[in-house]
This record gives sequence, C-alpha cells and structure tokens, in this order.
Amino acid sequence: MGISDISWRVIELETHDAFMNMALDEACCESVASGAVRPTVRFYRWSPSAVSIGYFQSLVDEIDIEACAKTGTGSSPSGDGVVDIIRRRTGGGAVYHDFEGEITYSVIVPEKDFCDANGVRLGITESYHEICGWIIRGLGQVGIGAEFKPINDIIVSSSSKKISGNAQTRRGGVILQHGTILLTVDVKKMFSLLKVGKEKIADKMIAAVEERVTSVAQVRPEVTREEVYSALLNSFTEGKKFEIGTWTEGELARAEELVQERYKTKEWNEMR
Amino acid sequence: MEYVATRKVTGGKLLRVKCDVADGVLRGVSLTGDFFMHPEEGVSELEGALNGMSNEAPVGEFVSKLNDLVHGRGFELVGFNVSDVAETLVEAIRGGKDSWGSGGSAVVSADSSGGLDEMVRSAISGK
Repeated sequence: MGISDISWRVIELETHDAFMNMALDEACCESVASGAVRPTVRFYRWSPSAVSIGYFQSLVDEIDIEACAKTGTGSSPSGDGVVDIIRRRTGGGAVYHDFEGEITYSVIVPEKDFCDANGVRLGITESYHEICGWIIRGLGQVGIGAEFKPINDIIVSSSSKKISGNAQTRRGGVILQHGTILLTVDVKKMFSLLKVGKEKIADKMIAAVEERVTSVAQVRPEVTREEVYSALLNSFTEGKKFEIGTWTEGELARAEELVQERYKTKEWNEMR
Repeated sequence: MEYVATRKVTGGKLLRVKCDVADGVLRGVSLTGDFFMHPEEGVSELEGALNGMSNEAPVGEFVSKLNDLVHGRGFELVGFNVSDVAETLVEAIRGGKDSWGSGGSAVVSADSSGGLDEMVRSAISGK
C-alpha cells in the first residue's frame, strides 16, 4: 500500500484559537489511530494571532509573555488584544501565527500507511520531503518556484529565502506533520513578542532576518489568500482519493477536553 | 548556581543545556531548543541519565551514557546528536562561554514566523 492508496478526509480552511487548533490536531491523531476516521488533511488559521513554541523550548526563555498579553493583533476578528501562547506537541522553533499572515496545515496519517510505491514506510526525512512536496506544488501553482530545504523548511528557489516551516511528531503509530505557509511577514512585530533584548531589535537585525525570509506577498503580491488556499487544497489532494469532511462529534468533544486538560494549562505550556 | 550554555549545532538548530552542580554531581539537567526528537518524551530520559554524573566526567563519558540510552530506547534525534549535548553540557559546567559570548547566561534563541530562529540568531551574533 502506498500513499496513492490512502483515502483521505480533507477539512477545509477554518479558524480557531491556538488551544483549539492544537487540541484538534491531537484529537484527530487519536481518532485516526483508532481507525474511527480516515487519514486527514486540514487547513486552518489562528484567531487571535498566536505564538507557538516547539515541544523542547523553554517558554520563559523564548517568549515575552507580557508583550503577548498586551499586544493587540490588529488583525484578529476577535480583537481582544491578546496574542495567545501555546506549546506544540512537535519540536522545532517558535512561530508567530498571524491571523492574516499565514495558512497552516496538518497532515495526520498512520505510519503504516505512509509508504512509498514499494510499501516501505517513509522515515522522518522522507515524510517531510513528501509532504513538503505537496506545498511546493501548491506554491508552483501560484507562480512561486520553491524547494525543500532539510530538515524542515521550504525556500523560494530564486532567492533561497524561507517561505514555509514544518514540524512533525509520531505518536501511537500516527504521523502528525503541521506547518505554515507565509502569506505576509512582519519581522518587527514578531520580534516584539519574542524574548529578544529590546536593544537588539535594531534595524540592522530586522533587515538581516528580512534577507532570509519571504512570503507570498513579497514574491507574488498579486496572488490572494484565496488563490493560495485553493492551490494548496488542490496540490494536497492531487492524485489522491479524498472527500471533504468535517470533525466528528467525538473529535470535537475530545478537543474541548484537551483544551482544558492540556493546552490551556500552565503545566503544559510552561513545562520547560 | 545554575550553569548554562547555548550552541547552534550543525544544521542550524539551537541547543541549550542548563544544570546545577551539588557535591560534584550534576542535578537538574535541562535540554531545551528548537531541535526534534522522537519520541519527544525521551528528552526527560536524556536529562535523567545525565543527572547524578560527575561534573568532572570527560565528554566521552557523557557521550557514551547518552549513546547507550538513545540506542537502547530507539530514540531518534533530528537536528542534533548526543555529542552536541555532551559538549554543550561540558561548556556549561566548565565555565565556557555560550554561543552568544554572554558568559553563560541564557540570552536569545528568538524564532519567528515559520521558524526563523536560525536567522535571528545569526543576526544577533553578527555571523
């Protein structure tokens, strides 16, 4: 059995807060592991905007908690003036999830099914490469040539600037890979939420980062969010068996539990 | 007294090691950073394996201990290896400066949208 034999559930672009977004990923992993639902691709946004940190990161070392608490996102429909902070189940670095500035995806699939044409299970690097290939195809459809940069990045070919970051975990026999596709980037805003000494937020430093990261808006300013999403939806499902689906009642209930039991707790978010 | 060292390992991931030393023995070892490890909970076992070891042990002894654990438990480290951990640990407890030349204090591993950690660190360190 190869990837082309998998029958997928696709959950179209939706918006949740950080806690529900990460809880839905975990609830979905559980339901995929139990066989209750099919392997799943989902697309989502974050409202309010949020900062997520990698599983192994220290929240207090990385994040300016006070700044997150008082920073209005300016772009969040909830307009509550808060940037949520959450620890992911995946490793990797801190990510600022701007409501307007990115599209996030998750792919949730049993390890035993995620195989090459010879039926050999894809390892971590291979599976990053495979799923990032779907993103690269989608970017190609909106006129952005991009390529995979191990371990977990996608860069624009013409500039070598990063346009997508990805992270993966494997638990209970299920792969969860999630990642972001940057639509816009505001480096100054991101720095204001991270624990970078304020004196360090110099124009020179911001310029140095801007030299190494890009976004859809910078490469193809005429391309809309809807067009990027449509391209991603197409590239993630191209050549695959799939149906547009919804969360089950059980998944939603479990996600609500996980929000309270894990993702909103100090024990989880400040565990390192 | 808390000892800290931070380094950017091959491939650009950040690894920070913190620990205490009491009566010549490592306590409270903590490994943080933007690396990957599968399963993630295994990091607690790596930390636990280092706790109780002599702060004067050679790097090779730390490497050996961690290697045994990683291989024995089937842990998969992505973006760093046990030598990075051992060397950063030794750097912390023997007074070496951390990667940012800050004399061991935890300074910065700022990341940003899409995981721009490497870029920010490069900018800060001027490298």
